[in-house]
Amino acid sequence: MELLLSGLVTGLFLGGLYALSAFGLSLVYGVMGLVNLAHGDFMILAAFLSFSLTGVLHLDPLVSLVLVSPCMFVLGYAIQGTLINRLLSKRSLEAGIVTTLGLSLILQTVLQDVYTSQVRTFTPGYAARGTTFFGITVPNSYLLCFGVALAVAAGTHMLVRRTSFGRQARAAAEDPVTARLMGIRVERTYNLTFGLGAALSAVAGVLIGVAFSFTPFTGTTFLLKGFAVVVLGGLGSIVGTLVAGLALGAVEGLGASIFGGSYRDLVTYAVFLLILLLAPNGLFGGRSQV
Amino acid sequence: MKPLLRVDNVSKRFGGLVAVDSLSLDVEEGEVLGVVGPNGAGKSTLLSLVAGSQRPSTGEIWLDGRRIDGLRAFQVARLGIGRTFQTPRPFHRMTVRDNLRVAAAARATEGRGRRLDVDAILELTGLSHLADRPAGALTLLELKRLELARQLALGPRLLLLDEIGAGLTGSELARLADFLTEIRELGLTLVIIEHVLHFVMDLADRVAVMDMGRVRAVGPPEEIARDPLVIDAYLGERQERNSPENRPRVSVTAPDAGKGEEAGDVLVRATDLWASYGMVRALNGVGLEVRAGQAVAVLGPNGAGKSTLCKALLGLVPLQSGTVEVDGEDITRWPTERRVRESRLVLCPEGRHVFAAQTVLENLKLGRVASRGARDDRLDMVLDLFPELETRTGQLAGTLSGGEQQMLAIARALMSNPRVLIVDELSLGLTPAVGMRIYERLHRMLERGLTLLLVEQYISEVLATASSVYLLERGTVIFGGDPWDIGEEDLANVYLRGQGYSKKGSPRSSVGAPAIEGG
Amino acid sequence: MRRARLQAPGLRLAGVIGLGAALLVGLSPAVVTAYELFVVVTLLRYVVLAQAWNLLAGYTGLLSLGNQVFVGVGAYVMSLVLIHWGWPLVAAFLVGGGAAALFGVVTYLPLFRLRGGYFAISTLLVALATSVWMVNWDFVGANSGLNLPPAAIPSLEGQFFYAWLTMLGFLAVQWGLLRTRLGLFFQAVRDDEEAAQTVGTNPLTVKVAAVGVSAFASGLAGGLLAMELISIQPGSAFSINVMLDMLVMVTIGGMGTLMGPAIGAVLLIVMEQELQQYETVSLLLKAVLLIAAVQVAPQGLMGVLSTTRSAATRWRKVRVSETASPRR
Repeated sequence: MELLLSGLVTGLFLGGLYALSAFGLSLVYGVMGLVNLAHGDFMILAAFLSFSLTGVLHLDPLVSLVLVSPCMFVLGYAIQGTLINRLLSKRSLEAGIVTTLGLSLILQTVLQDVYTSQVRTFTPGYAARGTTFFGITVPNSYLLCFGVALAVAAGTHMLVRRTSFGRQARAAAEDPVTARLMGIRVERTYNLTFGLGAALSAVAGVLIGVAFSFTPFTGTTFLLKGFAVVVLGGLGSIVGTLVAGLALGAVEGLGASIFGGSYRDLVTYAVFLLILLLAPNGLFGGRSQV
Repeated sequence: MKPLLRVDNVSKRFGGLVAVDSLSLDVEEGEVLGVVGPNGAGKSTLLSLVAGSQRPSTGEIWLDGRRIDGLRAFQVARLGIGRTFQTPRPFHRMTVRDNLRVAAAARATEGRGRRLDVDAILELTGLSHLADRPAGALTLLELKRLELARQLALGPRLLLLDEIGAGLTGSELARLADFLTEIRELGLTLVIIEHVLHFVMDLADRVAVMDMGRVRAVGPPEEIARDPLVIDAYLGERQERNSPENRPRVSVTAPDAGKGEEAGDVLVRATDLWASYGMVRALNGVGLEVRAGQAVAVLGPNGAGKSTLCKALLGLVPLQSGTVEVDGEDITRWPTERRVRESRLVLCPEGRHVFAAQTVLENLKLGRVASRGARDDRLDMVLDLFPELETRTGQLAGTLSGGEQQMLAIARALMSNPRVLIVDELSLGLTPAVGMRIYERLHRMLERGLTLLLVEQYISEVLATASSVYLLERGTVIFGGDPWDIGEEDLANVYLRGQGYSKKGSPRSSVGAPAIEGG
Repeated sequence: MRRARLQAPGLRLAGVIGLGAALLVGLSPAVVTAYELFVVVTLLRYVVLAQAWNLLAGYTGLLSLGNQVFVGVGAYVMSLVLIHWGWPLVAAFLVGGGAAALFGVVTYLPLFRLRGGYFAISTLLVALATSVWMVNWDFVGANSGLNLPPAAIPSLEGQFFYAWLTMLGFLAVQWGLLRTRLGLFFQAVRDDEEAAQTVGTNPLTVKVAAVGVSAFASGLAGGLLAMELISIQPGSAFSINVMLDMLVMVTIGGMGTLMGPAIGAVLLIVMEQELQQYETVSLLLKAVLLIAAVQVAPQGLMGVLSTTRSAATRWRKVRVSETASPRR
């Protein structure tokens, strides 16, 4: 029983990471209807960039985000602007998905070539220890994931709800034609959104390195977890995504306690499939057409 | 005799909106039934309910004694109900023959419809010479014939036709009517949904008039055409016609606007616009002018091209030829956003299109994205103009009433201090009282020098506002000039009988309208 | 004349030549070296994979990112049948295909109501979940996988015949299928699912049939892979590289045409042979080609070669009606 509870609680905190994996994905899918299959690889790319930076400059990985995140933003902005916008205007969403698949492959290949398949991890001092309360020990890195997720959720929520950009993005998501009639530059909004998604994925990527480890191929797993969270939490709701991430983490932790650690991912997939089948529009509703 | 199709007390609700309201209707075997009514009457919803692509919220639908309302669309099709789409939906990568073969292959299971083989149908519909062409290469009329042919190959007993006349002109329409008569002789029962009465007049045995989700009247076409209720629904409330001296004056800053004198410089000039939506031809050489400080109206029945014209001015519809100029600058190639931001040409689209998921205040803030400069006083001005919105700034736009949404849409458009405001069918779905209230606010803006282009269906709404009017019919301008110069009989011709404007000679016009097309 | 000329004689010719080539290839064992034969066998397997994916995506409009799972299932089931039941290779081979078909229908059935992006990602999900499961399942050897019993392993010539017959068979099945009602239904569902319903087509049964056939062929390809590798692991059998290869072949060769995937397969093999030493470059090139193809030529090479514009592009073009002239 204690074991189960421990798994549940630990998983809950870890869920922050899953939520972080989902914010960028959710934004991009919500605004443009695009499933970014390279999202996980963006995360890992950021993790490797951070890895190199911390190696050279001896920075804390989180601090390195100050540099890495804007770089990812620029990369995302450029990709959307040069490759994806013209596909969206042709209504060719499948082509967009295939393009992101190609990008995913490029990223994985290049990263493997440059960094090899060696498993990497960040080991800042604080991450190695755990904190105990009520008899349950939670790794500090998980607590960090939780905390960062809350902060990022708050920030993104503010951005989407209170700024002009947020209003424009929501308008473009709801009705791109009318958005143009307001003078909104829809393509530029898409660029900014994709860039933001990449920047957010950087945060998730670095935390993956802190809490776990990564190789050039870790991206796919987190893509799927991120997407599971998006479907669970519904689109357009940052809060929903946060809650769904935490929930997924908790369920996964519980499952791992029961079935064993190697089945952790499988639990996620099973839950995900179940949700897709029972509620194709997500638990909180969302885009019903792509 | 038992009817072939029985719609029994059927309702369909979409959230809070009632599209079809306790509707009952019978269709007799072998008859041609026309279903007409204004935009938003629920005709298309009724069709999808019968065809099985939607489920009724309440009520039952029976086909020849068999209940069909719970069935899926393909099951309904196999039972013998065929339907066409408003815009043809061919299997565009397959050949014409293969399009028919799909239908012929699927019909095998049930239904007792009349069967013809594929080649015979190709012959009948005049598509034999196109049999091996990919369907995507056909013209609009050919596609409509293909759509019909495909349904015939299914072997149905009942055929539902959704605005099959849409986008066709005079002679094409006549050919289609002839063809439908031939089909009817095959023993099919037809239900024809149309906006415009005249097309179904000759074809239908009975006509049902729908409005606000209900059937208002059913009967033989001649009776229906004379029914004052019906005429009212179509032409709108008729104002007492006064002589020009007695007409209500709208005071505008420019003197004698629309009386033929200079009402300010030409702000918007559209010249010779030709446009199509895919296969549907929407604008045939349309031209218009709007002068500073003027209120210009564009009228015409459904499908005349009024909305297309608005969209063309804003660059939402590609033009095959023609130019659009604002303040002397050619903006024909500009993207929509640029037209809004730089030319300050703002459209309040048909159907309002407020951002339902955002609040009133957020919608208004979105309206000023296009403008630079002073922000807050614009907001104050707009809320002052529409106090109904002031109390609702935090409310989600999707929860507002129709009238409030229209006000919000106009307020939003005004936020950017537009040079020219275009409002497309603001009275759509609103009660006359609410419509008038909104017009009153527009008048106030006109007094402050706003330039306005109004699109409306019914002339009564614009008589008090517009100093100049264009009458569109099937994508062509058939009158341009003083609104009081249009005859009532001529309007009835255009709206009810589709016979075109018959007045001889060119009208006295201050805006250089193109020559009139005779009836 | 304004109307589109039909699929020109040029394309039919291409089809005939392709078929001829396919038959000629059958003479291979007699005329080529062992190494070249190996390449040909690989090529044949690629053609089957590409055609299988094309059937789903090009002809029925279902963008699947998880076909590699059928390959894996086919490989594993064939191996299991050989190891545990000792059946002859032919039987095991076919059972592998059948198992993959069954698997495909069962796992994809609930996914069909999902649209575009959701569908694609859930197929990926199924594939990944299955491979994770396999890695943990001792019955199938978990990470170590399975080894085919030496007695059952065919010679290179034997493999060739399996591959060649599979390819020919599948080509014939497709060719035949596309001429029957089912083939019509596939294309109707692809072109316009809602309109297909109005003519009495049940999209669900059509999709199930498409997956069944596609998965069967992919499963056979898995069996071929197992014959080549002799020892299979989850990593190699369920590799996502297979998916990528399928995508590349069909996108470049031409979706929705019969010969397009085959052309794509040939190009891919050539590229792989040339770049054998440089695996990284090979992968990168594939990805770049994929992105470029989707940008520039969505119809693939077949579309570019065809002498008419594709009907789909025609459909979207704005046309002036024939009954009115631009000038009054």
